Amino acid sequence: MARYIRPEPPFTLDGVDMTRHPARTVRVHRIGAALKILGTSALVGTTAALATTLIHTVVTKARTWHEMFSWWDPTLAFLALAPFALYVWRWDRIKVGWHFRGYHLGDEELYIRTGLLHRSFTVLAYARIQEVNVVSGPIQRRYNLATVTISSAAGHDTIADVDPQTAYDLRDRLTDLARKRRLPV
Amino acid sequence: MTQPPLEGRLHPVTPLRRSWAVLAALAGLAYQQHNLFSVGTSGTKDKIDVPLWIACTIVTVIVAAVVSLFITSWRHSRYSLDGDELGYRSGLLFKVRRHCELHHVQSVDIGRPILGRLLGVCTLRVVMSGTTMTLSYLTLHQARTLKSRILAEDTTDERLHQVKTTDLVLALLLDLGTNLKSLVLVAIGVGPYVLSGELFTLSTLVAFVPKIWKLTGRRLFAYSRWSVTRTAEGSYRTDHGMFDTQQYTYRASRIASIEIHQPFLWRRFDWVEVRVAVAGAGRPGVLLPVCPRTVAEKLVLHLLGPDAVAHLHAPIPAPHEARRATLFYKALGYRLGSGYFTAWRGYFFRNSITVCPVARIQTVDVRQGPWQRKLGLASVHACMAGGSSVAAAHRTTAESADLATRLYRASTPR
Repeated sequence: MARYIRPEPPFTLDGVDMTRHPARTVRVHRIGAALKILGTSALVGTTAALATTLIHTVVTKARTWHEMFSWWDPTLAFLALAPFALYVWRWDRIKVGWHFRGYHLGDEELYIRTGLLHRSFTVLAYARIQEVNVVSGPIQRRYNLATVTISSAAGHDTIADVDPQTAYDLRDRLTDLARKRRLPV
Repeated sequence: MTQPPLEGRLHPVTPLRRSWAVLAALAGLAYQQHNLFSVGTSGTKDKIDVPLWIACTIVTVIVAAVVSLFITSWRHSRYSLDGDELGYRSGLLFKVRRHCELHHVQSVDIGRPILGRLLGVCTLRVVMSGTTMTLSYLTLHQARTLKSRILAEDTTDERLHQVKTTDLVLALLLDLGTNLKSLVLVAIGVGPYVLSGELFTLSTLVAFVPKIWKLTGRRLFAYSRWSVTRTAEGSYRTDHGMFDTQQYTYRASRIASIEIHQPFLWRRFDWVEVRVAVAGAGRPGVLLPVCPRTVAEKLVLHLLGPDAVAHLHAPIPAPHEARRATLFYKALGYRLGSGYFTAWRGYFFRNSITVCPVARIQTVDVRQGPWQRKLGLASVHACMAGGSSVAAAHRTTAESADLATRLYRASTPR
């Protein structure tokens, strides 16, 4: 079962517990991971089957449909277990990742901690914020979640999957803080 | 001091330059349908016979219509420079009026394409943050007057460095990485022909030719006669090009980072290439394609100040654990202090140095991959305006936490 991780030094803030995302983000991430794995394996499987058929046809100079697909062996069906195993692993890790992810609004800066396999911890000064957006996709809407996108001159940072009300509050708070602490251009 | 407003039209060659594309397209269309019609011959089967005089009239009318359309639109388009505002209005059917305020202008460059040079005309590019306004074509006199009025500066130029052609050719030949890349592209293009022996398979080469040309020949033409000129306090202009003369102006106040890169075979001469990332521009632009390291350091001194030059030496090497994370751990290093952050990277030697002023860092990002986690390492990325980032890769976790804090503290004014 899931071993819950405790964030370690480069990813921690002294004396601060970062705000966690709502627990239902785990479900949304699991659905997202399922769709992604399903799509990728369908694409890879189709491409592999087509390429194998083509090479087999060229090499054996097959003439009939039966000959063209004679490379197929029922035991190959076990390959379908690979994406399934991947998904079982992801299922576990997504729950672990939820314990890692978080954000925190400091006095002068915003901290965002994301990722699990590739972890990342971002510090962004309020003064550098240029634009704050709230967006929400179809699956997120089904589970009543929204994403806050924060743009600075360097690019976008996101606080993904929070309650819509929290998202609106964050947006107002961040734009207000950005206005108050704006640097002279 | 108020100067009279400056108004004018684009050069009369503009409508002709624009209409030829439309005329060529029409001519192509007519040629495609040529087996439907015959001109001047009567009694042909399956073809509509058009007498010669009608054909001539139609062609004349079409050409006259297209050309006059473009000439009218040219007559209606004019630029004006009044006080602090540069305006350009154009269009016949769709009217366009553009205004830009002069204090938003970042640089003004004059470009001279090869055909324009023959006719004595040029294009003026007015670069603002985010957008560029191009006026083409103007006479050289018009362009210079406009430029001096827009910049409102004395034009005392001081040439800092001029790249010698022999040096450039030798440097491009010795640039192993790029040349190998173009050779691989040639090999991929010729591969099908070698394997099959069919002549028509050489057509695959067509897809690769533009890329190969960009990597080899075009670099030579674009980089030749390269010079860097200091135009005003904090403005540095590059002029380059054998046939199409181009200019680009860098402002010291807009610079996000400077990268000094040294291909392996240039070590013998201690030559380097200098690239500059500008806030708001996409990719780093070339400031000097090849120059001795001393000149590069002089440019860093000009653009960033004396503290930055002292920064270009003595990096803090990567920790011992990094040798298990990457093969090229010897090249890694960073240095932070006196307002600058510098990072080293490369393959077997420290080929690339990137230096940036910490005040321009937008966000600080600590990243850790699964393999790094096993070794107790993390990378610290300083993300600059414009999307580029300067990274101190593979530091120990304690060091990276400390570095991230110090970088963030330094990047925000107190």
